[in-house]
Amino acid sequence: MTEPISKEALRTDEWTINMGPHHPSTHGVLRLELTTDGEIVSKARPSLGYLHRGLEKIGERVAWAQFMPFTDRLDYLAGMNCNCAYAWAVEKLAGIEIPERAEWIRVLVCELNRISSHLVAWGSFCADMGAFTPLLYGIREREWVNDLFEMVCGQRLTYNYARIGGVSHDLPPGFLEKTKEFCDYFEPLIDEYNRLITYNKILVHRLKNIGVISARDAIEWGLSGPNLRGSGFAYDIRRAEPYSVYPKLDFNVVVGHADRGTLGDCFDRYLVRIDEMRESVKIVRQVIDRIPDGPVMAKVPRVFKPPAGECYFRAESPRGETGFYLISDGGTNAYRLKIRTGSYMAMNIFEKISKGVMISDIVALIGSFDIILPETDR
Amino acid sequence: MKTLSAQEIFEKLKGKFGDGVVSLQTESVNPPFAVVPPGSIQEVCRFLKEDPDLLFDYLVCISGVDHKDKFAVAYHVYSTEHRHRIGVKAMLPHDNPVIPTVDVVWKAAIYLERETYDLMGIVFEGSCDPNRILLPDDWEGHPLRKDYIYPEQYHGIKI
Amino acid sequence: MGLREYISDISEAVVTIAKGMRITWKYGVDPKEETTIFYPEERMVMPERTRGFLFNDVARCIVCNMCVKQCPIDCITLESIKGADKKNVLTSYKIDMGRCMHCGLCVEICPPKSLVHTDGYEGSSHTREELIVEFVEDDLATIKARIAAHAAELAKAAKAAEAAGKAPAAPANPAGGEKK
Ligand code: SF4
Ligand code: SF4
Repeated sequence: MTEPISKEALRTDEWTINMGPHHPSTHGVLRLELTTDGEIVSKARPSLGYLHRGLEKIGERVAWAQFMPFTDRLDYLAGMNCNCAYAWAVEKLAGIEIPERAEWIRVLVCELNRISSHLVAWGSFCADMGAFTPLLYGIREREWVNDLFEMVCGQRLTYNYARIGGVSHDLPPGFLEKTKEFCDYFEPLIDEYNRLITYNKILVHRLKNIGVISARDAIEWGLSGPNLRGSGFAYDIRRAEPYSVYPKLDFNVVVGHADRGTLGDCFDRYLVRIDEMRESVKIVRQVIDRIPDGPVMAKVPRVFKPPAGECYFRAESPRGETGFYLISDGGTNAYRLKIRTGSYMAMNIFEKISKGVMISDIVALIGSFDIILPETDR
Repeated sequence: MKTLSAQEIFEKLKGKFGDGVVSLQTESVNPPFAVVPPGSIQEVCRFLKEDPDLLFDYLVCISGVDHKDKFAVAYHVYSTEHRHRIGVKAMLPHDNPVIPTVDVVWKAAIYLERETYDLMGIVFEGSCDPNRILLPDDWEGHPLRKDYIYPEQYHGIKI
Repeated sequence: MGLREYISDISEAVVTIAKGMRITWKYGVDPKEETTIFYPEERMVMPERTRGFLFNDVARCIVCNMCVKQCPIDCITLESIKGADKKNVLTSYKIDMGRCMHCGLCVEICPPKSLVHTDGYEGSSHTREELIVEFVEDDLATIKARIAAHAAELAKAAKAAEAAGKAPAAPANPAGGEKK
C-alpha cells in the first residue's frame, strides 16, 4: 500500500528512534529500536528483557510444588493455562495419574481463561487501532470470567489453582450453573463484537495485507498458536499432540482463511482469536455436560521427589505453545527448568516482517501477535 | 503422514551417519534423545529437516543444561507433517562450550540460541545474531550456570 | 481507484461505523446492569475462597514451621521458645505483607488451620516496615511469665495428683496467647 518516495526526488535521513519501553501500544515494557526513513520502518529490532525475573533460576531454587505461583506470573492474562501446563509437565515427568474430574476441571478453567485472554487481546488490539470501546466491552466480559475464577480459587489474576496431582479445590456449588449462564450470555456477544468492530472499514483497512506471514515462514520461525493458525495452517497442540481430555472433546481448529486481504495478515490473526472464543465456549459447554464426579487430587507425597529424568511437555495456551522442559535429579527441586513460550517466538519473526511497513503498522503487528511481555522475558 | 517412533528415527539417523550419532537416550526421558557429537549437529539437523520420511520442520525448543562437569544442548524438534518428535542432544566440555549454530536450518533457532547464549553461556558458532537478549549487553556472567555468583551491584545499583 | 469504488468505499465505511455506533449507543442509553459500585460506602461481597491478607490465630498455631518452609519467597518468620509442657510457644510470628503474593500455599499446609486468609484487601502504609505484620501481641516478658505460671501450675497439679495417688490431669495450656 505504501510506496516510499524515491530517494532522488527527496533526500531523506535515516533516523533511529526508540519505541518504548513505556509506550502504551507495546503491551508492556517492550522496547523497539526503529530505524526509520520518514514514516517507513527499515528495521525494527526488539529489545527484550525489561521484565526478566529469572524464573528459570527461581525454578531451580524452590521446590516443585512451590514453583506453581510463579507460573501465574508467566502469562498474567492466562494464568490457568500456565498453571495447568506446569502441573501436567511435572505429572508427566513423575508419572502421576490424576483423577478424571481434575482433568476435566483443568480443561474447563483453561478454556475459560482462553476466552478471557482473547477478550483482552481483542480489546487492546482494537484500542491500539484507535477504537477504545472494544477494550471496555472485552474487560466487561472478562470480569465475568474473573468472578468465576475468584469463586473457584479465590483470586482474580494470579490463580495458583492447579496442583501437582490435581487442583487445589473442587468446584464450588453453583459454579457450573454460573458458567453455563456465562456461556449463554457470552455466545451472542461474539456476533455483536463482529458487528461492532470486526468488519469496520477503518479497522479492516488498517489490518489487511499488513504483516503477511506465509505458513511456511511461520513454521520455520517457530510461531505457534493463533499466530501460526492465522497463516492458514491447522496446527493446534490440543489436536496434534493431544493431552488431558481434549481427545474426547469436539471442537474445530480455527484457521485464517484470507477473509479480507492476503492469507496470514494481521486481520487473519485477529479473526482467528475471535473464532477461537466460539470454539472455547463450545468446549466449556461440553465439559459442563460431561464432567464426572470424584476426587480432584491424587495422592502425592508432601515432600515430592519425582524420579530422575527429563521430559518436555507442551500445551496450547492462548499465546501459542507453552512448553516446559524439566530435568529432575531426584531431588526436591528441579535440576533445570526451561520455559518455552509463544510470545517469545513471535518476537523472533518480528524483525523480519517489520521491514518496510509504516510506523503505525508496527503497532498493528504487535497487537496482532498478542505478545505479553512477562512471557517473553520470563 | 507416517508417524515414526523414536527408535525408527534413530535407526534412520544411524543409517545415514553411522558413528556420527552416538546413542539413543530413552531411559526415563520423554521424548527420547539422539545424542550426537557437537561437530555434526548441523548436518544431523539438516538431515532431520530435509529427509522426506522425517521432515522435522518445527524447532520447538533449544535448552542448555549445566551438568556441572559438562554442558548439554537439547534440541526438541517436531514434524508438523508426520507428527512425530525427537530430541537431539549434544554434550559440550565445560571450559569451552562452543557448538555450531543451527539457525541456517531453522530460523526459529535465532532467538532460542540467543537466549541459551545469554543465560547459559554456550557459544553458537556462526550465528547470525550472537548477542545477548534478555540481559543487558554488559552483564557479567551467565546466570543459569550452576556456579554463577550473584553480583552485588550493577552500575552502582544495588541488586 | 475509480469514482464508483471510491463512493462504495465511503458508503461501506459509513454503514459499518453506523452499525458499530448503534451498539455503543444501545449500551450507552440502556445499560443492562449497573456496574458502578459506590466504594467505599458500598462494598463488594467477597467469595468464600477469597485469598486476602493472611491472619494467624496464634492461640491455635502449633509452631510446626511448615508455613515458613512452604512459602516460596520466605516472607514468614517465626520465633519460639520452649514452653512448660515441652511444646514450643510462639514469641514472634511475622508476615511481610509487602512481599506476600497471596498464593495460599502456607494456608493449605497449615495442620491446625490456624493460618487463614481473610477477605481484607485494603492495605497501605508509608513505609515498608509497617507492612511487616506481627501476630503475637504480648511481649517476651509476658509470655515468659505465663510459661512460668503454667509450669508452676503443672508442678502443683503433679503434686496434687501424687498426693491423691492418681494420674495427673494436665490443665489446658494457656501459654499460647489470648484467644480471639
Ligand atoms: S500466601 Fe504465599 S507468599 Fe504469602 S506468606 Fe503464604 S506462602 Fe508466602
Ligand atoms: S503452619 Fe500453621 S501451625 Fe504451623 S507454624 Fe505455620 S501457622 Fe503455625
